[in-house]
Parts: sequence; structure tokens; C-alpha cells
Amino acid sequence: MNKTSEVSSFKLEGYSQIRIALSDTKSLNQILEMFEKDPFSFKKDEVIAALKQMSFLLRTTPAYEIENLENDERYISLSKKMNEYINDVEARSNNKIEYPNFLDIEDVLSWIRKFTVAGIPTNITEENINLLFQKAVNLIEGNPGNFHQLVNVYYSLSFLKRNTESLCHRILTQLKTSPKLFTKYVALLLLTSCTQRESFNHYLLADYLQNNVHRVLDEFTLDEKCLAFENFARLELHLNPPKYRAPKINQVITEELSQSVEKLSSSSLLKIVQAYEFLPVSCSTYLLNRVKSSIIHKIQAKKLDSHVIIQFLEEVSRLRRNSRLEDHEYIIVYKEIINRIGKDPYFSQGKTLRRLLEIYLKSGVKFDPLVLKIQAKALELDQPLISTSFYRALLQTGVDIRKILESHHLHEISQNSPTNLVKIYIGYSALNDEAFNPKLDELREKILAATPLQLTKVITSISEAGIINTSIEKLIYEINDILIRTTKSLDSYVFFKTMFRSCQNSNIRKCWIEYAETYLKNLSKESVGKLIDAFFNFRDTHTFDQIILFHRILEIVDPKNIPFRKLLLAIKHERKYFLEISWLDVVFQKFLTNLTTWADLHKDDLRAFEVYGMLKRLEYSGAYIHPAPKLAKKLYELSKANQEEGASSIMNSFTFYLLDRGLLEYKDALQFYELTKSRTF
Amino acid sequence: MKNSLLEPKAISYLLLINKNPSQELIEEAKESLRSLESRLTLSNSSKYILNTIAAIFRFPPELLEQNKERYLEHLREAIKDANHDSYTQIYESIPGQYLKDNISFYEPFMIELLQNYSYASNRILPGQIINILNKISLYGKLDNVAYNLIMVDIEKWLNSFKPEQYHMIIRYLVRLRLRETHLFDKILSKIISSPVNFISKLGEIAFDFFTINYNCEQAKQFIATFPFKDSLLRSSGMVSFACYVPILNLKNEKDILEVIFSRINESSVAFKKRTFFLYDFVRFVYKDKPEWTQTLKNLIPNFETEYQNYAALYKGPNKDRDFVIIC
Repeated sequence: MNKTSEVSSFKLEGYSQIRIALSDTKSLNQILEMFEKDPFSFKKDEVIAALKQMSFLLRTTPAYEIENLENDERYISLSKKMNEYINDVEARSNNKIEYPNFLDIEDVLSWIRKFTVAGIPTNITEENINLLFQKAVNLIEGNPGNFHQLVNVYYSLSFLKRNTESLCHRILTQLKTSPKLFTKYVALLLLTSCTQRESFNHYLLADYLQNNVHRVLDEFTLDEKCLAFENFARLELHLNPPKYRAPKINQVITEELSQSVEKLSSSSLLKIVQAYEFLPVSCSTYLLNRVKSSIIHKIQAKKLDSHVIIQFLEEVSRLRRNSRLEDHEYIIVYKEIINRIGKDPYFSQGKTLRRLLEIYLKSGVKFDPLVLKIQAKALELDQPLISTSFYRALLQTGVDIRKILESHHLHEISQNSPTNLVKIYIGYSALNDEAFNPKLDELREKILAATPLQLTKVITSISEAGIINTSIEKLIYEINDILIRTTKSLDSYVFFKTMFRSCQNSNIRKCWIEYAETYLKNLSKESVGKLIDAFFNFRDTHTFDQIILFHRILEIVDPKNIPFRKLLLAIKHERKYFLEISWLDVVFQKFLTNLTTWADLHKDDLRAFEVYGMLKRLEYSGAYIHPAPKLAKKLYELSKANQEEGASSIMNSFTFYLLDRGLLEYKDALQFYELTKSRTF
Repeated sequence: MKNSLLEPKAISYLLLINKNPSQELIEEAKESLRSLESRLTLSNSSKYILNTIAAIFRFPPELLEQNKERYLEHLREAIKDANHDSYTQIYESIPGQYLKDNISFYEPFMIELLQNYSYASNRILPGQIINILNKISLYGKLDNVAYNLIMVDIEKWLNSFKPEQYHMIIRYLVRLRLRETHLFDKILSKIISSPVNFISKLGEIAFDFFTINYNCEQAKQFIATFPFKDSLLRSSGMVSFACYVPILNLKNEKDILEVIFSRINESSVAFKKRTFFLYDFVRFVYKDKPEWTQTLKNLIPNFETEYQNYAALYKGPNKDRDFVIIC
């Protein structure tokens, strides 16, 4: 949405001076200064106008300014004022006072969406977001004429992870009855919204989009085509209903994009790379290869910004191993980065260097000149570069890190954060030199003095370091002891996440299993849900010990308290999970057998399209071992008994899935045959 | 989901799982087959023809016999334009049960498919290689060109297979009696580096290695030091393991067998052939260990009768010395 259209949505009549001034602001800081000068003049309309202008300016705001916003008292006060107004609105609404117009709600929802996506707290309570959502729905129901408003609200709420089933159904119905409503703008908004939610109706909408986007595809710019390509890939239609196929529309877009790779913007090129993370292995990588070579070419010709290069390396590292860069291509990129370090201020930030080192280690392609260059640059920085990736890379290159470690002024650092101290601790312990034992003891003492919440962050740093030795193990044991003693002070999600992160070797895993056998037996359903969230919300891959621990705990807790649907969805969404667990033969077999047993206890929770998606993910991972067919049959039987209204097409596809694998019972096969004969689907 | 191939797929499945189909069902199947045959002439598109042929191959060979030559002709014409997906689809469509029991019927088709493997090679995916190899192993023959290309494809994906798939590769190559030592060495290194990932398949893999007499230094070292006593290895895999130990000529053979036999119990699943192999070996080599032969006897009900049947089937006239021949 451009500025003109944003501004035009305001009523110009009766505009206060403040609102006129707000529309002329050029930065978030300017808006907040206005608010600071005269906060009492900011009534409801002015607050909404200010927040709307802030969300409009967000895209052009530098990252450092956004980062500071979270702690900016002016912003906190402004957003809290909005929260109070929503409460007031509720009060007025209860007294049957006329409700504010729809545009206000739309603007507020849009601000909440943009800021939430950017990771900035909005200070609006969950209840108030729900309230706004409900009011928006009521207004839409009262005035069904405005389809675009409906789409906008759906778009905002999808990003806020609200239940948008009814809106989605309404949109789909309106699109089917009035195909003219399907414009380029609607297509892009709906497509992006669909990727945010997962439900039967959303996939029906996604399928509608897949079959109809071609009508407006010519109106798309090349960059919009890239956005569509990425979003269709994200939907993972090869795993999801209703027709369980790879998006055909992507083949059409691929052909068009392949011919115009050179004309694409850098952000669009990155979107294509991102898309390949979600596309099935069977998809041709022709476009990806062209994009990769185009980017490499641009890097060589110095036509790409440094932050794009880093983002490109990051995106590539998430692809399947054989789709990543060749070793010589990595070297080309690294050489260019070496040229830029020292010249480009982007590489003068410790944060960038840390990120670069993480990517470097993940790529597995060793290139000593890059590490040495980073080392030289790190010495010039105002703040010391405290990073375990840095130490690891230097150790790999054969550089002695003693001097670097000793140059850190521990006293100053300890004032800042225990996470920095633990990084230095890891650095010293990696030297494996007894001479540093007193230093390690001193550091350990300082680290253990931290609060439980800080200790959870220490554990995160340890797990991200990827180094484990006796000194680190000792520290983990001591931290775990403290955390167990102070469990009540921590949210159970944080506790479980820390538990998994600390599980760095088999000894620690055994200790946690002992703990679980004593204390986690009677875990409530809600807590098991948090355990599942904590396990699956991992940025990196799980270690074998973490997987074994998770499955052992699932066996320990009461099977009735396992949120089965949540578990199925989690393993379906986590792309790498089956690949990881498939290497743990016995655990994997046992897990599939357990799922078969647990399914019986939770048959009401089963939805055919979710179950089917999970089975497809399992098969797609290549880890289709012997308990899998039994599980598929069981889940089919239970889903059939629990069939949702209107989901017969999914059941038919599920039936065919079993038939194709020789798992379908004779009576079901006969029934299916009769259906195919009558061609009723 | 409007797909004209669904009906033939459904009816062919009914024929596959029902050993005594009704006459009515057979007639309907014939009708469905006729409509598929008419599809073959509807389009020149190779993909369309191959999809149709794949649907036809799902039917029992008795129904296909009549127009066998015609299918072969169409396959021959279309296969050259096949991509890896449609090529694999043909293999996958032939039910293993039919292929195993009617080798001569499928022979010309398999020859055609094998001769054209090069069209699918290179882009083929790990799971597809396994599926193709399975059908080839059931067919039992492999031509030189296809063999080389398949080996290249397996090597290409060697780091991407799952433990289950490594086991399948060994199983299918062994079924073809291919003693691919170079490949097996690599797979064995993977097993040795992380045996726990293969634990439920180790017994089967050991027996497959025994079948083709695969014997190398790293296998010897692995078995000689494998912690049979404390491992998670199931007792069902112990008989299979015990079969493999003798061919390695280990110095501590007796000690290893001692541990293995201590873990074999009556609940162990015993495959008759393997048990009889082992029984023969133990009876002649370890005459001082009658308890071992007794353990094996306990595994199979009516052991003596079963053993006599086995001996009549598999053993030659020189009954007492044929263990070496079997190895």
C-alpha cells in the first residue's frame, strides 16, 4: 500500500492539526517527539493516526532504531494509551454507544500486525486483540458488501495467528459466487495470509488461488511473481490437501522467472532461494541454479550489498545439502567478503561478524584467509568480539586464542552479561589446558551467580557453541541443579527448552531422564503441550540426545495427557524432524509404535487432512520404516470414523494413498472402487 | 479428484488382494483394461502413454497375456522420452508378487526397462533407486549398462540414504547375488561409525553378508569387538548374526558364539533356513557344545521333522559335509 492510498483513507474533514502534522512525519522518532511534547493532545484518533503513520514508516526505518523502540518510554506510553482506548471502546460498546468506524479497527489491526511481525511489542493485551477481532467480524457481518475490508482483516489476523476459519470460509464463498472480486491485490494478500495459517479451509482457499492465479498473473510484476512463487512453495501443497500435489502454478511462474533472472531485484532473488527450502526434492532446480549463478555473478561484479550477501549465504545454508553452493562458489563469496571487510561499514559491526562466522562454520567449507581477516577486523572493534563461533573458527584455522581470551576484561564483561562470560569460559575450556583451571573456576563462579532466567540464556549460548568437554559438562550440571531448585520461578516452556538445550551428551541426558521419571510423570496436558512446543521450536537441528530425551519423556507422562493433535502437527511442520529421528533406529520404531497406540486414546482429535499431511511428511523424508504402514492404517481407520463435514475428498485421497501402498483393506477398497465407478468425486 | 486411472487402479488392487475374485469382478477388470488399451491410442504424448501402461501393469499377468506384444510396442516407443518419474512409476506399478511368480511374462518388459535406464539415470532420487532395485532383484537379472548406471546413482546418493535404505540396498544386491564389496565396505563403515542407528537391521545385514560370503578386515574387527552381551540387539537377530560369525574366521569365534548363544532364547524369532544352517555348523564344528544344538532345536517346534524336510529340499547327497558348500 503506498502513502497516497494510506492517506486517502483518512477523512480530511475535521482533521486536527496534530493529525495533519503526523502525516508529514518522516521518521518514527519524529512521531514520538510529537507525542512526548504534548501527550494530552493525543486522543483516540490522534493515537490511531500516530500508530498508523509509524507502521507506514516502519519499512524505511533503520534496524537500530527499531531495536531501540522496544525500550522507548514514549513508544510504550503511546501503545499503552491505545490499549486503554480499546478498553474504553469496550466500555462504550457495552453502554450501546455508537461504535467507531471500521477503518479505525482496520488501522489498529494493521499496526499490530506490522509491529508483531517486526518483533516489536505492541503492548496490546491478548483480550483486546481478540476484542478488536470480534468487533471487526461483527462489522463485516453487518456490512457484507466490502470484500476488500474483509480481505484486509483476514490478512492482519492471519499474521496474528488468530482463528480465521469463518473469515476464510466467507472469502472463499464470495470468491466463488463473484469471480470478479479476484484481483491481483486480493490474490497477493490472500496468498500471503494462507501461508500463515493451517486449517482445512485455508488449504481450500490455497487451492482456489492455485487454480485461479493465472487469471491475474499477467498483471503481476516480476517481484510479485517471486513473492507468489515463494508463498506457493511455503504452502507445501505436495503434503497438504485438498489435492496433494506440487503447485502447478509454480511451474508456470518458474518458466517466466527463468527467462528474467537478470532483471530480478536482490530481495526477489532471495525469495526464490527461500522457496526451494519448501519445494519437494522432485522439483527441478533449474531456476535455483540460475538464481545462484546470477547472484554469484553479481557478487563478483560487486553489484550486491553486503547485507544481501550475508542473507544469501544464510538462506543457502538452509537448503538441502545438494542444493547448496559448490565449494568453489563459497570461496568466490568469501573472497569478496574479504575485500569488503575493512571497507564496508556493515562489516565493522560485531553482530555481522558473528553472523558471518556462524554461516561460515555451518557451510563446512574451510577458508583460512577469511577467518584471519575477521580476526584482524575484530581487534579493531570498540567492543571485543565475544563469540564461540569466532573461537571455534580460529581453533580450526590453528590460531592460538589465548591472547584473545586474555585480552577480554572479565570484570567489565561480567557487569554486562553472564552469556558473554560463558562464551569466554567455553573458549578457555576448548584449549584443554590445565593451566587455565583457576580461570575456569573463577568464571564458573561468576556465571553461577546469575539469576535463573539469565542461566537459561547461558545454556542457550552453550548449546549454540557446539563444543562439549568435561568443563562445560560440569558447568551444565551445576546450572541444571540451580534450575531444578528454582523451577517455580521459570515458565515451564522456558524450563523445558533449557532442559533440551542443556542435553548435550548422553550423561546429561541420563540425568534428565532420571529427573523426568521422578518429577514429570504427572505432567498436565497443558504442560506436555509446552514440552512439545519447547522441543520443536528449535532453530537448529536436534542432537540425538535431545531426541531420545524427548521421546523418553513422552513415554513417561500419562498418554492421555499428550496433546495428540498438537504432536502430529508439530512433527508435520518440522521439516527436519523425521530426517533426524530416522537415524535413531530403535527410538524411531518405538515412537511410531507409540503413536499407533496413542491414536486410540485421542481419536476425537484426529483430522484427516492433518494426519495425511503428517504421513506424507514421513514418507517424503525417506524414513518409511516398518511400523509406518501400521500407523497409516490405524490413523486412516480413526480419521474415517471421525470424518469432518465436507472432507470426503480428503478421505478419498487418503484411501487412494493406502491403496497405492497396498495397505487398504478389501472392504474399503471395494467401497472405493464403487465410488470411482460412479465417479462421484 | 477426477482421474480416469483411479478406477483401473482400484479394480486391479481388488484383484491383487483377493485370491479368489468373483467372475463378475474379473469381467469388470477386463472391461477396465479394454478402456485403458483404447487410451493408448488416444494420445501421442509419451507421459500419457507411460501413465496408462503403468496402470495396465497393475493387472494380473493372465489378463495382460493376450495383448502383451502391443503393450511392449507402446512401452518401447514411449520409454525413450521418459523422465525419471514416469520411468520409476512403471517399475512401481508392477506388483512384486506377480513379478516373482511370472518372471517369463515380465522378461521382455524388464529387458526394455533395463536397456533404457540411462534415460532416467542421473536425476533419479534415492527412494526411486530403492524401488527400482527392489523390482530388479525380484526379476533376478541385470544388464551390464544398467548395472553400472545404478551403481553410479547409488554412489551419488550414498550419503543421503537412511539406515533402512542402506539395508534395502544390501538386501536387493544380495538377492541379485552381486558381491559389491566396494559399496558394502562403504556402507559397513557407516554402520561401524554408528551401529546404534542400524541396530534393528544388524542381524539381517549380517545374514545378507553371510549369504554372499562378504568377508573383510573391518567386518572382522567389527564383529570381533561388538558388544553382543550388552547391546540393544534383539534376540531375534542373534541367529542371523551367529550364521555370519563362522565365515569370518575369527580367533575369538567360540567366545563370540558363546555370548550369542547365551542370548538366544525360545522367544527369539527363528527363520528355519538360518537355524538349520547354524545347526549344521554347530553340530560338526563344535561337537563339545551340545547345549548349542539343543538351543537351536528348541527354537523350532517339531525340529526333527522340519529338519528332514529341509534336508530333502536343500542338501545334496553328501549330506554331512555340505555346510561349506552352502556357505
